[in-house]
Amino acid sequence: MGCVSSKQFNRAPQHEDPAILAKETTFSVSEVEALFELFKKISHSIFRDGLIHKEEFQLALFRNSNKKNLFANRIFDLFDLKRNGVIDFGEFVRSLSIFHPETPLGDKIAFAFRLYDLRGTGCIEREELHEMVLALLNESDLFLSEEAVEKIVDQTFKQADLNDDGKIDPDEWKTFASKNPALLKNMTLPYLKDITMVFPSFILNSEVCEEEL
Amino acid sequence: MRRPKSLNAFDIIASSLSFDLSRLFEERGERMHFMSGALVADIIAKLEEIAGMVSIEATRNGQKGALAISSKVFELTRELVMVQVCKKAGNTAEYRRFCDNELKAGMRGLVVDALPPPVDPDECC
Repeated sequence: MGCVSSKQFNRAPQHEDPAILAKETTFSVSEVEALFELFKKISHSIFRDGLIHKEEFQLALFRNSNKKNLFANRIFDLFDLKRNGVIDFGEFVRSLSIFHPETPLGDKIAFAFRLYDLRGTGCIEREELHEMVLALLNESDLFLSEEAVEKIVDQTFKQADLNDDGKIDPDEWKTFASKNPALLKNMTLPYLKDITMVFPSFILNSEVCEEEL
Repeated sequence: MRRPKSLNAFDIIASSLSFDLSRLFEERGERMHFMSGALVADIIAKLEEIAGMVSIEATRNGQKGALAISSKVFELTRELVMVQVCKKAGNTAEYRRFCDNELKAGMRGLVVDALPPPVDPDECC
């Protein structure tokens, strides 16, 4: 790929200005520029239109463009802020910003809630949690009996559903997540702090380790 | 022995590899999980035996430097734990070989990997 000048952004006016994105997110300008390298790679992997389609997202996550997955779908949908079926660069950066180590915990807690509120009802219902546990078991080599799943969901709801109404509302979730910060670990990508080292910035041409690509 | 950390359903979900966006950036994280109804002490002893070292973080010299794995045990319910094994260092192919050959074979007796035979309901509650 070599050195790419920042003129790149002028040639593609549909991509948001990195300075604006940096101001509105936890990323620095050079981090946004580094993310652009990653974005280009993903958004040109199948459809060369500079937008990330669901298949390209699946390809990037699973090395398989056809692999359908509940969690990947949820993330894709949340990244797709404009709800137009594709993720553009601005949506990509703004959404990834939530995962930055320096993003406030409150933002992560809120994002996670929306992620788990599968049907967008404003609450996490018992059935949704059950469905997610099953989805996880399906995708992995783990096995749990139906009774064990029920028990785990029960235990969790006992801890989280404080008013015992069968669903977890945003305040209960905030309380629960604050008491159990480990369950938000998938909401932070430490890697994002080093993104400029992995994806060379526009000016520098650094050697990228083969294993990282 | 210290009781393993307790996991709730959200912890399990959060450990889903497909939720792991770091895969967008790097080679797939080398991690595996399995369930066991065995005693934690037995699991650890078995892991140590397999890895051939005395501590939980076991290393072994392979072709491209030491292969290091780490393991964590999490409690799901009173009868069930989830064991997570990660590659910490070393050659990925060698790690996978280790998992497919030694680890899986050695852990077979302790792993829940099929529907258990019908048991008295609520016996373990």
